[in-house]
Amino acid sequence: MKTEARTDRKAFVTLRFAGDDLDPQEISAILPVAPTRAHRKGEAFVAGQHAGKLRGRTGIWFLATDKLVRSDDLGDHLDFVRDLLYPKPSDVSRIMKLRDILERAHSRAHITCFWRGDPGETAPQIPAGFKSAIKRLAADIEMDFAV
Amino acid sequence: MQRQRSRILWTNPGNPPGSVARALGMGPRHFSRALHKIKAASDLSDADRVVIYSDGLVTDAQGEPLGNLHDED
Repeated sequence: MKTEARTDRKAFVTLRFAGDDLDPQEISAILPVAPTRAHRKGEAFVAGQHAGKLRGRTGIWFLATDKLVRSDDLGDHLDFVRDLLYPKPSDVSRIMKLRDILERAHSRAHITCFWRGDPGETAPQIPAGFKSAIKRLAADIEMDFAV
Repeated sequence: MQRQRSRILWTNPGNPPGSVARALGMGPRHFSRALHKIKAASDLSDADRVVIYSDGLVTDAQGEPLGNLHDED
């Protein structure tokens, strides 16, 4: 059975911390997951076999959930991000540390939600609990939904 | 050199039409997913303008390379 991510995955979420002064290693010291991409501003990184080596336009710590969560349900991907930020519902230690780094590095947190529905399918909603959970990060949520 | 031979398929903000995915030999969902990831990983929003070339290269509006759609599985 093929184990890599499917190319037709319907849903995933991305989480990123970005800013010119951001050192992504500081984020990696808090979040127990390997980022999909991380580099400082101006740092060279390999973007892939075809793209080759590129230079960071800004400092970034970027995570896409499509290879981590094997589900087409957007809610499962949002749950993964929420659990990453809050190891327990009442544990705000990671969020507070992240907020401190973002403030110090004049950086921002962003979340994007990707979803492609089948004909006639209703687009998912972002649960109020998730919106409330990320409020402490002042993260914006961008939705890329289409049928 | 490769880029000089490639042609521009798309140079607008937002989601490109299915014809761009077809020109690259990609399924529409795979293409959308790859473009979404390249933009997000470059700290761009869906509304930001990018340029897509026939070899899969994606650049920002200033021509700075962001990634290649064929690298995103």
